[in-house]
Amino acid sequence: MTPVTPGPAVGRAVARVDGWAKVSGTATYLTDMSGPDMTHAAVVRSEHPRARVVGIDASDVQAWPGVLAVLTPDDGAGLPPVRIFADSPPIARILTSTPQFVGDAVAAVVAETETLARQAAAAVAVDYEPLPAVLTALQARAAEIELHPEAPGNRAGPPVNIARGDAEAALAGCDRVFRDSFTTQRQCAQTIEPLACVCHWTDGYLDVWTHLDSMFHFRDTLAEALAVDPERVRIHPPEALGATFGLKNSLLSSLEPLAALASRRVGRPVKLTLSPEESMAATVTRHRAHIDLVTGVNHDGTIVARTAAVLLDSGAYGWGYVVALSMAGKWASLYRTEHLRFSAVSVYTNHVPGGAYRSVGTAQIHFAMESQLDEIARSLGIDPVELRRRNLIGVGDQLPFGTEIRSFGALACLDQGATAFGWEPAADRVRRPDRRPIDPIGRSRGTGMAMGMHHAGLTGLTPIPEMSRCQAELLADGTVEITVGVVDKGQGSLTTLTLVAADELGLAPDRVRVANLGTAAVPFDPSGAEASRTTYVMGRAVADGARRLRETIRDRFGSDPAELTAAEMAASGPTGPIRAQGYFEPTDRDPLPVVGAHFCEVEVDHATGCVRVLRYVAAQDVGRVINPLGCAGQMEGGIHHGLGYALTEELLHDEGFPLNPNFMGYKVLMASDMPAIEDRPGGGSGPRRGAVRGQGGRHARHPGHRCGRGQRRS
Amino acid sequence: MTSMDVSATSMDVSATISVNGRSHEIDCQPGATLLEVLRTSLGLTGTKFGCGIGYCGACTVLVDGAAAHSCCLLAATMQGREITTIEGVSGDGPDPSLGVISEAFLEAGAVQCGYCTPGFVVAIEALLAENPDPSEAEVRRYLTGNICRCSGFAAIVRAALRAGGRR
Repeated sequence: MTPVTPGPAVGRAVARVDGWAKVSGTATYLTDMSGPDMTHAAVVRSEHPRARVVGIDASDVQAWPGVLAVLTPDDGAGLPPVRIFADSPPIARILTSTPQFVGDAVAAVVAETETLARQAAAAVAVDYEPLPAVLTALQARAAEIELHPEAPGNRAGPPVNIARGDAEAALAGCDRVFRDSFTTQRQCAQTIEPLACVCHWTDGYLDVWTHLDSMFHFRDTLAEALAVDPERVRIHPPEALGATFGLKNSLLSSLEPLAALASRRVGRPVKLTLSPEESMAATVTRHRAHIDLVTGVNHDGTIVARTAAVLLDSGAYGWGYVVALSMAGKWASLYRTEHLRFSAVSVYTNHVPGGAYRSVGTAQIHFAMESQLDEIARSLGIDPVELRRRNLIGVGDQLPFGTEIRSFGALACLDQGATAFGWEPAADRVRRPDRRPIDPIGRSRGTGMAMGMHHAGLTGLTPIPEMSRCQAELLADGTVEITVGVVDKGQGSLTTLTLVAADELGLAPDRVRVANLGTAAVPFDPSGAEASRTTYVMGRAVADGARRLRETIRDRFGSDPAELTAAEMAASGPTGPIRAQGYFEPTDRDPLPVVGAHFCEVEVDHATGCVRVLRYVAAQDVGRVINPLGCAGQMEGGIHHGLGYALTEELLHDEGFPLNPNFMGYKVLMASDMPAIEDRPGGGSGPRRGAVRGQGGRHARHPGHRCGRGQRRS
Repeated sequence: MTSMDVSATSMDVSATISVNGRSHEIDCQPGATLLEVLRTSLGLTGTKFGCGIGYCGACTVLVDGAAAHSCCLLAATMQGREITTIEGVSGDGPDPSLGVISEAFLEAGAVQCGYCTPGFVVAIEALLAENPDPSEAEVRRYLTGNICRCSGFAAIVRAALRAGGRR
C-alpha cells in the first residue's frame, strides 16, 4: 500500500480511500442492497413511440400471490408534472397515459421478488391508441405535430443566441468561406452497474438511496415532483456507486419518483432496478445534434468570422438548451474570432430523452469544429497544427461572459503533444489522404489531431449559484472529519479532497476522513458532482475549511493538529465541538476553462472498413495534478468514451424502436481495441502536465476531452 | 429479462456446489443462474450483475480454475465443480487481506467506480494461472470478456502486468 512518508500529499500517487472495499468485493452498491422487508418494482413500458393509453388491465396480475400493487397513471394524478431540469417546461409524468417514446413508463408492479415483479409487469395488458410520431429534429422544428401544449413549436427550452461583431458582413469580405454540416449520434453511458434505487416512505419521511450526481438538487426536484417539503426527503449515497457519466445528472421521472410512490402505496421499502436494456434505451443518451458551421478565413489561415446553427434533438424530455449553452461557450472561445454568431434550437421528438453525458455539448461541437478546421487546413495547404496555433486564444483574451483568461495551456498542449507524438507537419498522408500508400494486404495508416476545450464549474450556465461548502471537525481521537455534499461516483473525489485537506491541516492523509453522509447530515451544496466542478469548487471549499480548522485548533490548544495529542485534548477539559466551515464561490463570470490537444494514428483496412487505433497521445492542461493515479484514470477513461463515440458507439433506432440496447449490440471498445495511451508523468514536462501554472491551477480538474475524429457527417 | 432472484417453489431442483472451498446444498429453480445463487442464496455479492448476457464480465468467477461468466451458467449444472469468487481470491499479497492482483489494482489506480473490478481481478487470476508473466498484448487479448467503462483499460492492463511480474 502507499507508504505514509512526511511531506505534502498533493501530487503523490495515492491509492484511493475506497479502494480496498471495492477491490475485495465487499463494497455495497445499490444493486447489492437488500433487506428483510424489501419489495421490488418493475415498469410496464410503452411499445409505441407515441400513443394514448386507452386501457390498462391488471386484474389477473393483481391476484398473483406475491404481487403487492399495480400502479397506473392514476397513482400520479394530482401531482404536478415533473420538471427535469431548471428552466425546462414541466412535461414529464411519473407514469404517463400519453407515452412519448418506446420505453416511456405507463404502469408499474410491486412484488415480493424482482423476478415476480418483472413477470407480472410483462403480463399487464395495456391497450394503446398509436399516434403519429415525430422522429426527427427537423420534423419537430417544422411543428406540424405539436407534442406538448406546454412547449409551443416543440421547443425544449429557450433558444440560445450569442453574437459578436457582424458575422454576415465579415464573411462576405473573407478570402475563403467554408460551409459544412455535421450530425452526431445518440451515445449511451452504458454503465456496468444497471441503474437502481431504493425508496422507503415511512413516518412522513422519504428515504432514498440512488445513483446521483447532485444530492440537493436531486432532493429538491424529487420533492417538487412528489409535492412534499424538501426537508421530508433524505437522500443517502450508497457505500459505492457505479459510474454514471452524467446519466444521473437530472431526475429520471420514472425511477425515484416511481419507487417513492410505490413505497408509499405498499408501506415498505421498494427497490427498482432497471435491466441493462432499460438503462440504455429508457433513461437518457447524449443529445443528438445537427450542426451547420460557416467559417471565413484569410489565405494565411486567420479566422475572421464564424457562424454556427445548431439543432438539438432533446428526445421526449431532454433539455438541449443547456447543451447548447455549453456548446456556445467553447465554440466562441477556443479560436480567436472577431465576428461570431451562434444560434441553437432544441426540440422535443418521440425518442429516448437527451441528457447529460461526459462534457455536455463539448463533444458534439468540437467534433464539428475540429473536422471543419482539418478541411480548411487541407484546402489552404497549411498544417493542421499550425492552423490551430495561428488562431488559438490565450492569456488576456476574454471568455464569453467577460472573464479575462489568466491561465490557459492551449499552445503548450499543442506543442508538447505534437512533439511527443512526433507530428510531421508536412506529411502528405495528413494533408492528402487520397495519396496515402496502401500496403499489400489492403491497409493504410493515417494520423490526426484535434483540440478540445471544456469547463469546470457551472458559473453563468444555470440559474443555480455556483458555490460549495463543507464542515471540518476535530474528532476525539485527533483525526479530522470533513463532510461534503458531493458524491464519489468512481472519479476519486473523496481521495482528492482528502489529500487537499491533509496538506492544509498539516496531517498525514490517514488522519483525515472526507465523507458524504447524505442530505440530512452535510452542508448544502447546490450542484454536487456535476459539470467537472468537484475538485475546482469543492476542493477549494475543503481547503478553506481545513485551513480554518487548523487555526481554530491552534487557538484552542496552542498546538498544530499534527502535534496535538489525545492527552492534550483530554487535559483541556470539556469543549464544545471543534469545527470550522469551509466555503468557496468562484468570482469569475465564466466557468474555469480547460483545454487539450490529442493526437492519434489509425490503421484502416480498405477491404473490411475495420479501423484500429494504433497510438494515442493526449496533452492536457489539467492544472496542478493532485493525485496522478486519479488524473491518469480520468484521462484514459475519457479517451475510451471519445474513441467509442468516434468509432463504434451509437444507440440505433428504426421508426422510434431501439435496435441495439444491450452490451452485445451497442459496441464499446474492449481492452484489445484500445491503443496504448502515451502517458508521461515524470518531471512535469510530459504532455499530461500541460502548462497551466497560473492562478487557475491550484486545484486541477480532470480533462473532459475527446479526440473527436472520424465521426460521420452529412 | 434477467433477474437477480431465486424464489423457492415446488419446481426447485437441488444441487451441491463447492464455493471457495466450502460445500453448499442449494435448492433453486431450474433456470436459476450461478450468479443468482451466489448473490442471493449465498450472499456473496462481490460478484456483480452487469449485462446478463455473458458479455461484460462483471460476473466472472472461476469454475475449476477457468474464468467463466456466472450469469450464463445454470446453477444446477455446477454439481461437483469448484467455484471461486472474488471472496475466495485473496490473502496471498503483502497485505494479508488482499491478493497480489487486488493489491496491484490499488497501486496502479485500476479501481474507479469499482463495479467491474471483482470480475477483472478474477479473470486476471485465471490468466496468471495459465500464463504467469504475460505480455501486454496477451493481457489485452485475454481481457476481452470484461468491460470497464471508467478506466479505458489502461490502468487495469498495468495492474495485470504488475501482478504478473510478482507471481
